[in-house]
Amino acid sequence: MTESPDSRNEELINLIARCAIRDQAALKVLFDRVSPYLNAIVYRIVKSDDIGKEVLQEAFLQIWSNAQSYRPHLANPLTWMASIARYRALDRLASEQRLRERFVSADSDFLLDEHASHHSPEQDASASQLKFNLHKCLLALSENIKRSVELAYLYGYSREEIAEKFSTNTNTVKSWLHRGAERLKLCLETNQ
Amino acid sequence: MSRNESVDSGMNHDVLAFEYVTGVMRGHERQVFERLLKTNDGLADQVRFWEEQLMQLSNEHDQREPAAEVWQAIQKKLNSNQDSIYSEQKLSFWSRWSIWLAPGLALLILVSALFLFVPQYNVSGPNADYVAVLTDAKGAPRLTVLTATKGTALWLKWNDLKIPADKNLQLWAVSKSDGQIRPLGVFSQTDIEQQPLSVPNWRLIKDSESLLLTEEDIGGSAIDEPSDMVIAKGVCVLLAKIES
Repeated sequence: MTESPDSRNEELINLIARCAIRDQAALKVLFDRVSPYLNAIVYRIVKSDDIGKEVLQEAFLQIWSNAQSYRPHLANPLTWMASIARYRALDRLASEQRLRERFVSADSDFLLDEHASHHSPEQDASASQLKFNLHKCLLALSENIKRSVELAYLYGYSREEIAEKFSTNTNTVKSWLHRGAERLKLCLETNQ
Repeated sequence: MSRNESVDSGMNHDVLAFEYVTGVMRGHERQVFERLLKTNDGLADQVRFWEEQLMQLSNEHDQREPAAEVWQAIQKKLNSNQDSIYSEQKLSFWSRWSIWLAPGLALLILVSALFLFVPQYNVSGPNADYVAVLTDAKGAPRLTVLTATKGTALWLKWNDLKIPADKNLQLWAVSKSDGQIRPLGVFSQTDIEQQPLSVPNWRLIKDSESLLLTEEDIGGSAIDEPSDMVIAKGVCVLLAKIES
């Protein structure tokens, strides 16, 4: 993408506004623009093309029906849409017991490492200050807490699944995440 | 204290918002949190904070092209929803107007901006329909009011408004000619989509600069003046038809 984040956001905001007034052509453009990104988010969580298709469909129908409640001054358009897609994927995880079992498989290690390899503060500094700050703050956390946050957010791991991954108990994971949230918030606010 | 109780009690909302956004909050606990989220603005702010921050974990260049049938399924779903409405002949007002509502609302945004930034701007023209989108203090739309059928009907679209059992909502018109605020109607429920519009009220709307929605005692304001409990307000503009 060669366009600036501002012009990209402006375009997405405009498309969402057109969806709010029931312009299906705008939804199609929006779909073309962001569905590969949203699909990657959904797939990372549900790990199934078939279920991913259904979740992506649900996400876009929700974007369509909630477009009138989107407020550009409160949320970045891509964040708003990505959150809808993630929550729909998490809902599907909750309803599909068999999807939970995939987490104990070895490929999530590969995926995590593969994804993590994209990120270093140096690389991210050029992307955005926000991204740089988050990764800087994450690096200040212990490795277990950092990986727990990534497993939960990126791959939809539950507390129990994270506990299994690290061969520990759920209460320990709960306390890692609580500590992680508090330290991350403090660090992010300090760096703002 | 159980997790559900901790959600209800408002304890440590920041951490709960983090758990909600990361997705480790599941099941009933998540449902309770989502209910709370609808009414707790502070909590919604915290959720938005974490959504924006943690979004930076995702790499925008990680993309996966969806199958072509996904868009087809979305389109089919949207169109089937429309078809079923038509076939049942239960076409609501908002669906019927949707043909020109899009360009109309686009114009509304433009005209509203002109009202906001150029106070002298004055809409005048032939006897046409008017619309006002009433928003709350945070800019969220709460009620859309539209006059139609040459001013004989008032159409209402409510958004997430609940009226306390011992209260009514009252709609007011703020005159652009003399600045007076005059009552347009009292509502005890928010499922009313349409009601007849009297000639005096139609004139009030035609002459109005904006509309106000306030919370009043049952039966409406006894002194014919709005209370301080303003739920929403919005400029009233001429809605011109544009050929689509």
